[in-house]
Amino acid sequence: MTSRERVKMAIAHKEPDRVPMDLWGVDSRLSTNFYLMVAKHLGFDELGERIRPGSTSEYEDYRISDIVGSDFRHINIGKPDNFRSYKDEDDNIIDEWGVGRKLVGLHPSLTYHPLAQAQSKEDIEKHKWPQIIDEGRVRGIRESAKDWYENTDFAITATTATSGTIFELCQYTRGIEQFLMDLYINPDFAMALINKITDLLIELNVYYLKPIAPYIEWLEFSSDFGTQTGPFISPEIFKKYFVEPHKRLFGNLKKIAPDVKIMLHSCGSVRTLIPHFIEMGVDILSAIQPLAEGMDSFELKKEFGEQLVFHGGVDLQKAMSGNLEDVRIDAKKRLDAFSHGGGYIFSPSNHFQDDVPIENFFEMYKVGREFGTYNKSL
Amino acid sequence: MNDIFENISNKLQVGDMKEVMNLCKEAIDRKASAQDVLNAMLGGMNIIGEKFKNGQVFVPEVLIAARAMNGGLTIIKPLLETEGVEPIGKIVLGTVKGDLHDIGKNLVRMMFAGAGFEVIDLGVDVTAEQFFDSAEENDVQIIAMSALLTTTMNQMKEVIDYFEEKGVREKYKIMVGGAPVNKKFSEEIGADMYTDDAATAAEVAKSYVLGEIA
Repeated sequence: MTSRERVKMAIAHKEPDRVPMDLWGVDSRLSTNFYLMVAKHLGFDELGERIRPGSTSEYEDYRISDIVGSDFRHINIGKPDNFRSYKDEDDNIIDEWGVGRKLVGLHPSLTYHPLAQAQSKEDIEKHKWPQIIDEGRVRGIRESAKDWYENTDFAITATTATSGTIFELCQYTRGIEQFLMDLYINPDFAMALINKITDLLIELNVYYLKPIAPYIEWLEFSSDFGTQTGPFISPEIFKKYFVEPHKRLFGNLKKIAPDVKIMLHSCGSVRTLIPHFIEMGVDILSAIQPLAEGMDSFELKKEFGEQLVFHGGVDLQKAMSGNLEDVRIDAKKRLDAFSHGGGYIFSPSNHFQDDVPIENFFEMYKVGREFGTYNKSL
Repeated sequence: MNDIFENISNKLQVGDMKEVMNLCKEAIDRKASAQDVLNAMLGGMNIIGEKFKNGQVFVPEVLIAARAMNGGLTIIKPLLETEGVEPIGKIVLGTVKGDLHDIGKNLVRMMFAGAGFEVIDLGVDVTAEQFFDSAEENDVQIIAMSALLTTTMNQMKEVIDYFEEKGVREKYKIMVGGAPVNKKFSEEIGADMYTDDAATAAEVAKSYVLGEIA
């Protein structure tokens, strides 16, 4: 069975020969530092492609995928030709949404919110939003996807067009605390901002999806609604503000590419939001952070396994930074919990960072390969 | 008068800042003491803190309650000063050097204030020297540090070591918290207390200054 067949079966809720494994998707990358450590460990003379400078995970290197046996290749959106990040007078690095960041330590952090002082829908309209149609974003992606599709057996997916989706872009442009308060104290403003951003994301994702749709299995979105102990916002507030906009976003994409599944990464404790995710049109839920409240793998599979494909699940908060036996136990646990009846892609519950011993990284995929088999003859 | 205090607490809990401010004004006009009005608001924040801990309310509800309390405080602040009402203690709070995450730290600040503390919030990316200088200048009882990253949590040890070097470690209680932090880590680095949520942090800090725990 090829990787592509394996993945297609899994996401159709059928049991392939074994559980597919992912690496380098939106939530299964190596952090920049960790990648450099692994590359050194593997004795690479040359590093992989530095496709995301300034991000948490700057590199992509499929040599590692081939070593661990990943079934995937990924399309990543390009950078626009007509916009370059720039430094403002306070040394904030400003992106195309007008949001400012500074690099402190290893991670870029939010330091400037362009709509912090905005008061009205007019202020939202007046803001300089990104110019969506820009060939730089999509140059070469059709060719890459087609090339992999025709000349390899890998499953191909498309990673996120933006860092964060509606929830994040509202927070980044408005300010995290201010936007969360807006949901109560400025409801019309909040809704207007959500809808503006949704409109832009529809335009962007349609533009991104059209050239690659015939070749990919799913399109990825990342939106972190969970904390360790519960969702950031109540299910009621989530329903009031976010269900319809996401329905609109995903619906527009399904209209133009009905065979391309929608994958949502949402880490933390999101159990109480999952029914809404399903309602919105999410096909594949990723992260499934096992130690977060209510995110027991077995319970999730039981409750939602018919409606959702699960992606991720291997615990990074404890197990992957433990010893080899901890890794084995956890990896097997997730396979046990999720793989029955297909509908599972084995991968970490978030990016690998440098608190993961290198040997644990390789052990995880070794276990995924050995114990992910469905015992039947095909 | 009790019904007005109950109203203040209730309106605070639903984040109705305008109404909390109106009710504070009314209570003061009716000759309530600023201390009593403050206690009504602290009572409301306490309930919100418990509900947040129990997963009954979420981040937005805590933020709007804290905002309502800050509104009420602007009304009673002058009177608190004339009455000589003191905070129950003083805390220096910050996210450690190299780390810019602050939502959790801000929620802890709101809970500390909601427990009656004066909080000196140094913000994010705070050095050991800054924690030290602020603690000494402001004569605080507690230093509270937050980190979200495994790569920055070790800064907490740097801060504790700095206080040791300066010979003032025993003067202060040092509390730590944040996603990668746990009791074991806090003991290893020589912190006094670890708490894993904002409401508990406020309870523990309060217990300490009231002499209920050592």
